[in-house]
Amino acid sequence: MSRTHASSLLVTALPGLGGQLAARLSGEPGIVVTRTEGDRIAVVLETAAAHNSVATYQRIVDLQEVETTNVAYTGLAPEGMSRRSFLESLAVTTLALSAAGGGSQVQAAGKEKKWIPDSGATKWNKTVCRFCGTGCGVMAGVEDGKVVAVRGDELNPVNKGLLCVKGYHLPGILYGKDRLTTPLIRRNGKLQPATWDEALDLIASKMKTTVEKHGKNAIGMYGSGQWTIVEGYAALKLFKGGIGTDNVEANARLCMASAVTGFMTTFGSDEPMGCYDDFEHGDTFVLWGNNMAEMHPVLFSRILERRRKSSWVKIIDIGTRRTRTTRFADQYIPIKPGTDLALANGIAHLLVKNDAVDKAFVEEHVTLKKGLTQMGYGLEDGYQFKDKPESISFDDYVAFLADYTPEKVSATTGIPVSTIQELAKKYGDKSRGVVSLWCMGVNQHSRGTWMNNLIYNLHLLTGKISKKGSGPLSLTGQPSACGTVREVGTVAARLPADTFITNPEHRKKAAEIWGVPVENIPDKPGLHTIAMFRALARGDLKFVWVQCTNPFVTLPNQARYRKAFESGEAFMVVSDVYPTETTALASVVLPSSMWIEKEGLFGNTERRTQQWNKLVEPPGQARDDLWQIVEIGKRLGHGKLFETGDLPLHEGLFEEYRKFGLGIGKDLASYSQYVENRGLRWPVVNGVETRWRYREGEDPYVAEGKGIEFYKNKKTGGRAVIWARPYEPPAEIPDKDYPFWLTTGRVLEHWHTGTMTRRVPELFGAVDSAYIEMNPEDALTHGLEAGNQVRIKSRRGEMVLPLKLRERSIPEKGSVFIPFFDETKLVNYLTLDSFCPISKEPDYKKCAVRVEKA
Amino acid sequence: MNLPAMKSRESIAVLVAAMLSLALVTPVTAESRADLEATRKAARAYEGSPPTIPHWYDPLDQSSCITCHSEGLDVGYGRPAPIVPHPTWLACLQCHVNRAEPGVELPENSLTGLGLTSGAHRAHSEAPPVVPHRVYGRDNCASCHAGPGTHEAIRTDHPERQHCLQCHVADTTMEYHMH
Repeated sequence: MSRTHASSLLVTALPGLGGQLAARLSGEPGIVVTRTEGDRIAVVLETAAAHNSVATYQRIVDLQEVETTNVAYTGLAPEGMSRRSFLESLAVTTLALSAAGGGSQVQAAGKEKKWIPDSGATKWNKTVCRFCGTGCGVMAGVEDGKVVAVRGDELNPVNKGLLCVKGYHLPGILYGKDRLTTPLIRRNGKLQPATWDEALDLIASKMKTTVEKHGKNAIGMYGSGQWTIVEGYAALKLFKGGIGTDNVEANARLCMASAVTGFMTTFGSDEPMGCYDDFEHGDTFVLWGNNMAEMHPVLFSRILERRRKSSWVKIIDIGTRRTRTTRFADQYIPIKPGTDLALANGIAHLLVKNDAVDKAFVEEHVTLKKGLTQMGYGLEDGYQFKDKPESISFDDYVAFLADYTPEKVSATTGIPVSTIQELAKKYGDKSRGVVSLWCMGVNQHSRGTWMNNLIYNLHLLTGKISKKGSGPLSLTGQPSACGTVREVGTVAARLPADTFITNPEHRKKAAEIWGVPVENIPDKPGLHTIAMFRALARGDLKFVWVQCTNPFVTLPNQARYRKAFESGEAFMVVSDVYPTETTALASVVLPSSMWIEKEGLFGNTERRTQQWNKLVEPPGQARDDLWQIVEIGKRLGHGKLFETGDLPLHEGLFEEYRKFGLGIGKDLASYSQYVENRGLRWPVVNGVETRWRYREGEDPYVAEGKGIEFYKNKKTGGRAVIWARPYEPPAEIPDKDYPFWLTTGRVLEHWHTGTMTRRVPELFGAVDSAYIEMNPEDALTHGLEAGNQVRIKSRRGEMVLPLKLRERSIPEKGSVFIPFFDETKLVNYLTLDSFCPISKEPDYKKCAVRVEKA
Repeated sequence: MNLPAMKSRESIAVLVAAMLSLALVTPVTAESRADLEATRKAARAYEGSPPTIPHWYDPLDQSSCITCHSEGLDVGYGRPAPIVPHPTWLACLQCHVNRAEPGVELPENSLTGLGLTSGAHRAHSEAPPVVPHRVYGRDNCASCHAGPGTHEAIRTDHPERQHCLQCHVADTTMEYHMH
């Protein structure tokens, strides 16, 4: 069925002439529908191409009763919508919109936009975007101590001058009306202003008495990939080197942990071997459950630019809903939630069967293993899991893959056999570079570690790895999830640069660098995020300090974790920049500096470390998180940990931190080098960065003549691991009572929990509320229409949201999507807190719900 | 950053501008300038930020933007669609987002945005003005200075001369100075 193309026009008649004009218009050729309300008339024209309607427009404009005309809409009817209902709906909505102000932006009284004329006095300096993990270079323009504009940094190789809408609106995040500007202490149940000394003394004394009464492990720190590298390092050093507890965790557990365990189990070292240069050299880009057009838009634009210049380039989108990415993709492959494991094994099966395996590569660089299966889902308190890896032969692996024939995989995934075969051909095609990309779809997965392993399998089988234009690239969601959480190691069990508290050698090295007795450093892993907040809810953990994140929006199954605050015993300190759902529960709130109100470094997805200077002062009494940590350290008697001799605090701590990575393939450049440049990708040896790790000629750690060497995997003699990991279903599957899959995620305009982006009028206005998206056919069978208020229920909670159909994305039948950025409508009351037993990362993408008209 | 080199480029730019002083520009009235600023302000947080979309678009149709904005379709008197100044960037919605739904109250924000320049630099009264903004992302001068929907305050009086940068050179002080 061909789709109708139409335009709608809002015509305003001269006063009192509405009826007369409407009558004239209905007789005009080319006009299909008119709808009148007083002097306003919505006119709909059907056009084969919009250009044909110009003559009609001009006839309308020339009519003497017309006062103004405005085009409201031009475009195609949504797929599946009938011609008549499309045309009618255009007329109705055109009138409705105009009645309420014609779609123009409503600024509340007294909120006039202020501009200052550009006199050329604006000072421009380099900085880094503080939203996602892409790491775009930003030039910030400062005048009179305030940021007045930003522009993309053309000299930064990450984004080459382009930003996304969030990046362009960075200036506004500093200037929301309700910035926190003074410390607050909860007194008589209410947060009340206090001095810094009062707040810091209270926190320090609470920490001391808690440790005395309940032990070191009764306190913890919870940060995020929004920590700068030095802030994260200071937190780690204070807790693991000074206080002596391993309870340091970060929001990255909820977002990147499966990527980390995937890298560690396959390569023995965290973070990608490839880099963004692959975008300009790849031929086939396979997106695994990854809406890159919205989540990593600047990187996606690099792929689009590659395809624009090279007609053979293909983008393949494997997903559970049609997104903006789908609309750019050459091929969309809908897949049943959670069955990506079966698909990856199915492709591996065909690679073996079709003789597409690079045998020499596998022979020289790969070893094979299997682990435990039927691991459970981590739902119960005190759940523990430890994998028991076992070596297997290639024949064992082939036997394991026998279960993943295209026919069986098709039945599991819902993907046609021929499509699976085609995909396997793309991976196996020796003439094409293949880049696999993924983010939360693979990581927030109850078998997330496995799924990361399985994608690596495909690249290891074909030898398409760590090669210009070929390789797996795990994308990150926070600006320094890599630089801080993963490289510094601000999560349980970790020390900097891929080292572990459970390893006596690693503890010794840390003790030496820190100048503390080795006994200070804990040797037992602390609590991972979910365990930490379950312990807080049970009362086992008494004190937690949260910096730069918002767990009482992001934790799954919120009700379970909010119990922590019912008894009034849990003591939570929150450092943040605006009031949030988490500060609302805090005992003490500390006002923080953000972005260019402080100096810092971030590490992005492609191992690039980037530095910026402080460019403006924070508002009121706000202070940066590093200062807060140091001040608490001093009050606990650990001030010595932060003495840096002749060097300024930032540079001194960074220079100390980088000692951990030197000589072991995690080498960073000196602080002063990062001040000068637009970032370098580690390992940086003799001032030279590394584009493709493990590749001879690119990575200085690979011995001459080796070609490729996974040298960080000491246990396997420098080989990467192909894992036999089966398909296992998610923890909760839709049934008769709860028939829909619920997937949560982000939208382009908002970042994480919206704390910053919801303070910016342009971004708030673009998406002002959470919503539910469902497949139009499902809506029809449930008697639901776009705009309806819909009640969504899971076994854990319920909420009401407006329904969107055929807008931003269209979920596949049987599933619904809700974004999590809106703290006034918390989808995490519905989600399930099952997690990947290896990474402990929750699965936010799959639980069961039902929907009904509210 | 090589600052001395930048400076010499700048002086060459000024010299070239002076040598090619052929074009005359209609003086801009205070009213039309104020109107220009109001028009631009309505759609932007600051000069240089991507304008928001003042009308509907088909969220499911990738070509719905360029249907009108590639050639500057005149969709009716007073409402011509401006031509995209960066035609090779394909993901329009990466930077341009819709405005708030009617009636939505927006958050208060005290950002002071950088506005228009007070005027373009000229070597002398007869010299062609130097381009007073970044050229990056604005490859097509006609989209703001000659095409449909352009504001009279910045409209060229010689659209037939298509090689703009022959006389109007980029102001290098706009580019990468580190202060």
